[in-house]
Amino acid sequence: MDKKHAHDMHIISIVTRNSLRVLQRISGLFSRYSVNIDQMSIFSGQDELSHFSIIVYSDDHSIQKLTNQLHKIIEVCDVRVLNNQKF
Amino acid sequence: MKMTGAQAIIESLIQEGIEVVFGYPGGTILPTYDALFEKKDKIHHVLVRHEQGGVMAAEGYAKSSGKVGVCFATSGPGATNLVTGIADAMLDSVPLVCITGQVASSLIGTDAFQEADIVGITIPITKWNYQVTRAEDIPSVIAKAFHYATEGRPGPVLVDITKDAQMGMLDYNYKKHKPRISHAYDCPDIQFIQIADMLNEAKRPLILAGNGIGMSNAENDLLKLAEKATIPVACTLHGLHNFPSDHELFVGLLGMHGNYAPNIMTNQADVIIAIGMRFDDRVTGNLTKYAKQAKIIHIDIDHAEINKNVKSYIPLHTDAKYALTQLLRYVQPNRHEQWREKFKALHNEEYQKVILPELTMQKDIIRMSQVINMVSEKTEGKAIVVSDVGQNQMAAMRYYKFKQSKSHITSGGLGTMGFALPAAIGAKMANPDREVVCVAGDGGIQMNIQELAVIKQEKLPVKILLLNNNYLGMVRQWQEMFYEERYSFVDLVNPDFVALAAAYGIKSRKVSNPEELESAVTEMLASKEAYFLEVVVEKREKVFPMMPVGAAVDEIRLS
Repeated sequence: MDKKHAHDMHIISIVTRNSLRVLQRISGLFSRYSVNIDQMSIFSGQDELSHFSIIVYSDDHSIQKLTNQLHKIIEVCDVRVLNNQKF
Repeated sequence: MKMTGAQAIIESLIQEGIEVVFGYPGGTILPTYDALFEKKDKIHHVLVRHEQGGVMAAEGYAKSSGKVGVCFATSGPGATNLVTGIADAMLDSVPLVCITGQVASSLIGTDAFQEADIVGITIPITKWNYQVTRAEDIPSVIAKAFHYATEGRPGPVLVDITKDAQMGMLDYNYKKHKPRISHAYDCPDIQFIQIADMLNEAKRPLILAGNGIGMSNAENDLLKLAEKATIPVACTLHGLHNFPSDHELFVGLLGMHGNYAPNIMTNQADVIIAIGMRFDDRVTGNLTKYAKQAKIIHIDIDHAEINKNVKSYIPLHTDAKYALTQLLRYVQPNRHEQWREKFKALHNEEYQKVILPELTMQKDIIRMSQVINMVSEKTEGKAIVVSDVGQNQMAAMRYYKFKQSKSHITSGGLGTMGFALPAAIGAKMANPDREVVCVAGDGGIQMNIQELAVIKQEKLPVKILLLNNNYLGMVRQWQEMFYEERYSFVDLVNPDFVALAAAYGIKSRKVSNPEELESAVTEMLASKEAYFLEVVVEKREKVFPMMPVGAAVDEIRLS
């Protein structure tokens, strides 16, 4: 089984203030924790907030450590792991 | 009030109560240095000799005072020279505000002279960073910078300000960033009652005290809790000065070169309460064999530290002082006599096998431990000891008997050689009335030796203690123990340090005869001006106890 399908799929939803570099801050943490981004969409609304939906395949512990660090980015307002199922 | 962006930077620093800035001027930060010239009666600028010295001096200032350290650098190489110090501050939770000049906003992205994307470079090693391109944004960004540097778990922030923003005009109005609501770290009483119950029922409790105790000024609260419930206290490297080393409940230092008793007893305790520490790998050794028998209560202000390395039975995301004062209400007096006896027995073993032989004077060699022990006795444990990295650092932490907090300044997390000399400059600037002793090896001292010029220029009576074994001693120790004595590139042909210090205008002396050591240390400490004492120490000394990589805490070796 390849690495992707050896792990659970997680959809990580992040709401940030819409500012320069915020994508760099977020993606830097994913690479630091060796969590490869499978799919990502970003939507900037009228409210000066950016909404990230990121699909990754990883183990729960890595996701927990990653989300703990995502919360520490000053521009990040909310982080949720939306679902967690075997794919 | 109308002023330039550069004037606004300086005014904002004054509003934040900043009295000392460490820095190095250059092209893109010239406007700010020009504005500083007008206010040099309010802000004392220390001209370092390398930006790395500047940021590390700011760290020493911050660590020894609890205030925010501020440093200036120009764009490009000036800014990139800050990187090691910023990473160091990130790992050791040091509140810093680094202000860098940047090329004019019209030139960004053109590979202009001295352009470097310092904001991009420092994203992973700052709590927050920001590039300002408009003068009117300067006051609010600096206010945010000070807030983020100190709020919660402290850390470094970097504000990169383009030259045109420094030169532009703005209508200055400074508002401090709104502090986080004061009850942000409040926890329900039931959690403290639950923890207190565990401590009350524990037969073999152990407190692990870290850097967070000092940062929340909770030293007395820790003392009260430990005394009320009579619980032994073990400290991390950065927690060491947060509990009096001569107290009967102090059981020593945790970790790789820590004391025998607290490391071994970590794997015998039934309840461990860890406060303001992060279970660094140098503390835990092999995680799969770390305190598996214990119920661990982990109190830390950084949510991301909870369950990061060690799974806690009760995690508590809060401030150390608040937690300790709450716990004190519910913890019952206790004795734990038998449990404490075990620590004493293990300490005696370490004392007989390691400490006593190391401290026994010999005819022809001087050991690092003897030098530190002598300095400790002669300063009565009241000096600020700024140690570098390696064997000298291990000797300083093992043999200096700290009696008060904010006294042990060292690079713990990043292990940055070259830290001690500039950090000692910062510590002396913040504490002119305290004795500041810089302890370094012959490797590390040469990484920032240029800062001797600052000690001379600022007339700082810093005492520099060079423990010279003409080796990169810690690396040599590892090569001896784990690489079959293949000493690969660790022997140093050194300069004449005494002549070098003298060339910088600093009083200096070299000692290699054990009989002269005491008079030399006395002379150094009695000096009213800076003093550089080189002590030639045993070349092949090894630091013990030692927990080899991969070993468990209770597999720590005495030889």
